[in-house]
Formats: sequence, C-alpha cells, structure tokens
Amino acid sequence: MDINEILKELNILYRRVLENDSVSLSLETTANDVDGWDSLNHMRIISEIEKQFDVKFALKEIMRLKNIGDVCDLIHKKLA
Amino acid sequence: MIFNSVEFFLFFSVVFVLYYLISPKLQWGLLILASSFFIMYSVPSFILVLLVVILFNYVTGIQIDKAKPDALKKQIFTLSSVVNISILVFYKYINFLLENVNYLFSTFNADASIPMISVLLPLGISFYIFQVISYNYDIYWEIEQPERHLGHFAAYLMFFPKIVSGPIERASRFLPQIKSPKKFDYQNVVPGLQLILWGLFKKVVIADRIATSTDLVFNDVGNYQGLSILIATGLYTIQLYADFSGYTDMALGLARMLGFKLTDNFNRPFSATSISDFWRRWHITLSSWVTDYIYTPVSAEKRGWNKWGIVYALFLTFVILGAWHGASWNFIFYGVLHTMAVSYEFLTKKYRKRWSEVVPTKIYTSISNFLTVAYFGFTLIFFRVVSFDGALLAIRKVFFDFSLSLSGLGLGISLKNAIIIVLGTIIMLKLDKWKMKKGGLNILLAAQSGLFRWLFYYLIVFSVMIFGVFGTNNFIYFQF
Amino acid sequence: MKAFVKKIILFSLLPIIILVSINYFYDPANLFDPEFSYERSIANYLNEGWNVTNVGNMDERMLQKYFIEGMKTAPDVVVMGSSNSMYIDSSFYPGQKLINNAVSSATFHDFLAIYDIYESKGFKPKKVVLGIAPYMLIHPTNDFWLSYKEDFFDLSDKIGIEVQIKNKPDYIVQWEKWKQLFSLSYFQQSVNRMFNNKDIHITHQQFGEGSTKVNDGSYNDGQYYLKKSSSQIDVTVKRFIASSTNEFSGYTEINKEQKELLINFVDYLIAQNIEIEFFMMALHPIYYDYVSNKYPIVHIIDDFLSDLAKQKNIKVIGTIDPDQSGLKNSDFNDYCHLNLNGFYKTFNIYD
Repeated sequence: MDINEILKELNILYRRVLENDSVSLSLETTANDVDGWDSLNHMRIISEIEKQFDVKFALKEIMRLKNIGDVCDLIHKKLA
Repeated sequence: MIFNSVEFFLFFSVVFVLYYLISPKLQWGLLILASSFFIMYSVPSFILVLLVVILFNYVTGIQIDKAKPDALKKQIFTLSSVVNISILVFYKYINFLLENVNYLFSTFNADASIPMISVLLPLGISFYIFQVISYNYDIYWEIEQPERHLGHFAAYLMFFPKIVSGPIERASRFLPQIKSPKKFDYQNVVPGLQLILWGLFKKVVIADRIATSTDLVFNDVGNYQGLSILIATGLYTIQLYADFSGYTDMALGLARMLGFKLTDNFNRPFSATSISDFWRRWHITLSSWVTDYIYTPVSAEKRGWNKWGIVYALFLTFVILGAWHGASWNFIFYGVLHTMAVSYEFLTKKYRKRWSEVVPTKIYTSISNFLTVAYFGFTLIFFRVVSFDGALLAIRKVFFDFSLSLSGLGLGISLKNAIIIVLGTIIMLKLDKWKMKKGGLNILLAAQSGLFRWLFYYLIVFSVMIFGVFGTNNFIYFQF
Repeated sequence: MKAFVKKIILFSLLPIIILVSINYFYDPANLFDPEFSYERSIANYLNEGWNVTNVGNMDERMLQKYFIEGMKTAPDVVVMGSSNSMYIDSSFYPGQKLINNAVSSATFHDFLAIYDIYESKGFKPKKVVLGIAPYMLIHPTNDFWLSYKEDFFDLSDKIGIEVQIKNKPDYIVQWEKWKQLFSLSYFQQSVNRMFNNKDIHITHQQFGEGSTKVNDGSYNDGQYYLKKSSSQIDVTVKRFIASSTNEFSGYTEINKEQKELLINFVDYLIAQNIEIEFFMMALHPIYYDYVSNKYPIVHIIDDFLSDLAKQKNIKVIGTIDPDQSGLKNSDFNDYCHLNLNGFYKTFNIYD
C-alpha cells in the first residue's frame, strides 16, 4: 500500500468513527483541523486504525504523531 | 512572600533592575539567586527538597536519553516517576494515608495505630513535581531532548514567578527561553506590568472582597440557610476565578517583565458549553498536563476496551486531578464529580447532538452554558468546604432548608460591597473576554491612545487603593 | 531602562501624593495632628459658643484636649465621668460656669489626664464633680487614655502613683506612626472619614432632633430620644440581662490601681481646696434588682464609695440603688443611663 491509498482509507475511517461525512484529510491535517478529533476520541481512532490495517502501535510512536502525514508514515512503516 | 505585599514589591523591583543591568549571560544565575531567596523567605528548608528534586531529575533526564535499549530507558523512567511521586506523596498525602489506614485498623478492631507525621508542605511542590514528571516523560517518549545545562534546568524549576502556584510550564516551552539573553524591551516590560496591575485588581478588589462573605458561610455551614449557601456558592465561583486568574495574570506579568512568556491558565471558562469544554478553559496547564501524561497513556493502554477504556482513563485522570488539589476525600470526590460529567458527555454525544439540531442554537448554547457553570459551581462545594460531612450538609441545606426570604441571609454584604462586587465582576469578565479575543491585554491597550492607557492604569491603581481589601489573604492556590 | 524607570516614578507620584495627603489630613487615628483635624474643628466650634450635632466617629480624648486647651476662661465647675455623666449641663449648677469633660468608657486615668490639662493652662475650678460608674472601680483600665498619656503621667507623677505601660522604644513608635502615611488600609479609613465627616453641623439649639454636643461639653440625645417609651426600655433591659455578661460578672474585689488613683486624686484636689462632689449613677430598677442579688461586688462598691465620701467629707449626689433616690423605670434610657428626668430628680432640679 502506498501513502495515498493509506490516506484514502484513513479518510473513510475518520468519517466512520467521527460520524461526520464532511471530514477531508490531507497529509498536513492536524487534530485542530478536524471537528471531533479531540483527546477523547484520539485513542478510539488509533484503535480503529490498528484494527483496520491490522497493525500495532507502541505508545511512544503514538505520542510522536503530529499530523495525518505522520499517521500515514507510521502505518506505512508497520505494513512494510 | 505573596505577590500583593510590600516585601514582594521591593524584592521584585530590585531583581528587575539588576536583571537588566547585568550581563545577559548571567541572568539565569540571578534568577536562581532571586528564586532561592524567594523560596527561603518563608521557610528556609523548603529549598532543600527542591534542590534534591532538581539534581535527581537532571541526572535521570540525561540517563534516560543516553540509555540504548528501550527496556533500560523504561526502567530509568519508571524509577524517576516512582521517586518523584513518592516525594510528592510523602509531603502531601502521608497523613491522609495514615489516617485512612488507622481508620481501617479501627474498623477491624486492630490495636495498632500509626502516629501522624508532622511535615510541612514545601512551597510549590505540587507544581514542580508535576513539571519534572512531564520532563522525564517527554524524554522517554523521545519528543524532547534532556537539558544539559544544570543552571538552566535549575532556573526553570525554581523560577519564582511560577513556583508558588504555577502555571505548570512544560520544559520544552521554557528552556529555549532561558537560553536567549534578555535585553530590556518595552514590548515585554509594558505588557508584563499591565498584566500585573490587572491581576492585582482581580485579586484584591474582587476576590478578597467576595471572600469576606463566602468565608462566613463556608466556615460555618450549619448556621446558614439554603439560599445563603446557594448564593455563597455562586459568589465563590466568581471569587475562585478572580483569585486564581488574578494570580496567574500576575505570574505571567512578572515573567513577561523578565522576558519570559508563560502559558495562560484561563480562556473565558464561563462561556464553556460543557464540562469537557470547561476543562479546556479552566486551569489549562493542569488539565492539559493530566490529559497528556495520564489520560493519553492510560487510554492508549486500554484502547482495546473501546468506550469503557475511555471512561476508565477519564476516571483515573480526574480522580488524580481532584486529589492533586489536596489530601482529602473532598477533593477526590470533586474529581469524581467531574469524571462523571465528562463521561456522561462523552457517552451521550450522539443524543445531545440531536438535541442541538432540534433546539435553536442560541437557546441550546445558553442552556448548555448555564448548566455547565452551575454544575461546576456545585462541585466547588466539595472544593471549598473543609469536611466531607460539611459539604453534604451544605447540599442538604440548599435543597431542604430553602426559603426565599431575604432577611437573615447573613452574608454580610452591604449595598456598597454588592455594587463593587457586581460592577467588578462585570468589568472583569468583559475585559478578560476582550483580552482573549484580541490576543492579549497589551494588544487591546496598544490600540488605544497613550492618554487612555494612563487613565486606565490610574483607574486600576486607584480602584486597588480605594476598594482593595487588605489583610493577609493568600492566594487560594497557595495551599496546593 | 532608565527612561522606563523614570516613567514609573513619574506615574507613581500622583497616587503616592494622594495616598500620603489623604492619610495625613484625614488621619483617623490622630497620629499627625494637623491644623484641621476633625476633633480640633469640633473643639474650636464649642469654644466659639456653638453646639455641634451629628457628631461622628472620633477620638473623644483628643477632643477634650483641644477643647480645654482652646478655652478662654476657666470653668467654676468641672464634670468628669463616663457617658452616664454626659447629660450634666449648665442648668444643673445655675450661676456658675460649668464644663462637662465626660468621655465614653472613662476610667480614673482620664480624670487625671483631664485635670492635668486644666492645670497646665493655669485653670483651677472651684468644684469638681466626679461621675463614678461602678465599672470604674473594678475593671482594669482600657487603652483610650493613651491619647493624652503625657498629661496623665504628668499628674500621676505629682500625686505619687506609678503606672506601668508597655513602653516601645521611641524609634519604633515613630517608625510605626510614619509607616501609616503609606498604608493602604489606613488610606481606606481616611477616605471613609472624608466622606462621612464632611460637614460639621453647628447650631445654637441645645435640644435638637438628633444628638447634640453642647458648647459646655455636655451631650444630649435630642428631643426624639426623650420620648422613648418606658416599657420599650424595660424590654431592652430584660434582654440585656438575659443575653450578655454584664459589667459585674467575674469581679469580686475592687481594682487596686483604680482605687489608688481615685484616692490619691481626691486627696490632691482636697489639698488644693477644691470642692468635690461624687455623682453615683443609679442603675435601672430591673437591672439593679438582678445584679444586686447576684453580685455581692455591687454592694462592696457602694459601701466603698460611701465610706470614702464620708471620710473625706465629699458630698454625694445619687445612689447606685435607684429606689434610694426615688427613681423609677421611666427615669432611664437603658440599663445604666439616666434620661433627663432621672438627672433632674437626682440633682433635685425642677423647672
């Protein structure tokens, strides 16, 4: 899977988890830009990502995620 | 030394002038000296704990970073956390724990009874322990580098504007600032002074004035009727805001005069529309600390539990937040009340969203806002009343000893007092709102003419002189 | 930075000047004694022959000091005592110039100080009326007399009495006094004074609607007060008995220092050929009934004063026991203050 495909799937996932069809992610998107992506939902999203892509993140890796680009990179690294 | 005292005024004047006279390379040294003096002014031995904490965490920070295998990093990090927490627990909670252990013993009719330990709570310990814990965390998570300059690290933890009651400043925000030399700059000194004046006004004219009434009621709940307690609760909410945001403004102002920008603790909390939202606006440095260093790791660990993982993480987070305030069941219960509210909001999100679509926005926002502030006020009963029974009594009285008769309220508020409080509160909320919107009090004032500014300063100074309440009223958060 | 410091100093000048000036001129604790202190202004009006109404919060002792110092002619009769004695005015001693120097919560320390001020002026009265309230003989003194302590010590030295007070070294006293110029809480009290005592109302009427300080030093509660109903007063007396501890509770003997002061003072006056009269104030019948039965000290005081008067040949006006003077409930304003009727009866004055 390449980064763009990951991004597309992430978009669908975010829309599903946040129950918000207007979500539109780019690599620079951060939590501040997405309505509903707050600390309360952050781990739910992470958990869903892990389930969907069948990967496992370490806490340290989660802490270093600053934007969607980082998320995609991390997923990509895990899938490789 | 409290900020609103003659001694502190003299102290700071001297430090300020010296600070800009000496070579910028030595400024961190002056800060350490001044902060040491400040800390030792009340109880000299307080500095010893702080020095131990500084040295210990200076070492662990470097060692965590240096360690190669992750397991070793984790070990050192865990050790640092255990030691830091133990220090805090010892000074703050030891008697609380012993009391409860003894209580357990007595219920099992055991004869043993551990005696209480007489220990003073070192100044600012709740704040600097939290700062070192997050420091070690950030290094362990590899999102920050350890500080290798011991002097800078010490200055960060000792920094007197924030040592007493915060803000809880992240090392990553502060350390870069201490590395840059500070030249005398109107762009820092004037905004700082403005903030100090404004904070002083809030504390001395509003908070301390209201305190004379709320103290009457909350120190003797049994003798007041429900309506008095209800009003006192509302007043206390305003008082707490004025007191703590006043302190924070003064702390930020003092730091700014020395060229440092610290993090604000408040962002118009009374316009919050949910308790979750409220905590993003009230005592922000504490709530963001517990979010980043308790909620996040716990919710990450329990993310397999889905919704219930989040509720569990929230529970731990808010109980710790409550307990941080003090060693008593009251504060823990205060935390529990908040965890209940935030969990409720989280679990009913969809349901509430539906309501927000049905009801006109203005009405929905107003009601949410009112309920949020009212709920917060209610939780403050546990925050303020010293005993748990007392708090329950207060609540019982509000519901069952309630009459609308205005005579015999006993709040001790004369008409003149009431006018000052009401006017003061309105001015305070308005000005705080504008300063948030404009991005700072200085920006708000810079937009006006010089004459206006001086008039404003004189207005504040004379208000403080004429309407200020002078006694020895410590800031409420001084005790934590 | 220098420019900044200059600006701060410039800015601060205005508030500091205002702070210091208001503290100095309105001076609620009379520390600085400026030309127009409240007490001095009132004393001036009295000495010019005016009566002053609506007298507010002030240092009564300082008032007495300025009053006496500003007097043009010596009085024939000087009345000293506590608030119970303040009604005594010139009509009680017709044909003689009377000055009433009674102060609230007076103790014998006040008697000495006041007499000394007269003496320093070279004024010697023909007669001194000492209004003695029972508490004066049993309570230790309060601190109010410190306002004119130099005058007190002047006379106490003359009559050979040593009084110990906690003496702070002078430089500390001075430092604390001048520190008040910059004190914000003192400032707030000064501002309060500024707004409350703006006008001193003066009149030539002796019995007005409100309370009046008359130019002979006496004081009355005005026409309205005279009309309070006796049964209302009875109720307040009963409430007082039920609620608070009273002046007698806890005392079983006469206070040594007060006794010594009184006796020595009386001897001093006698040695100067000054006629002395004791005015013993009666207590409200209901109150007297209660305390005379419960507290033996009441009788001890009564006996002591009667004995002293007999011994020194001092005329006694009035008795603590209201019955003995033919006083009824309706002659009182409260549990221990006679109203004007009560005074007239006691002094045997009938218009």
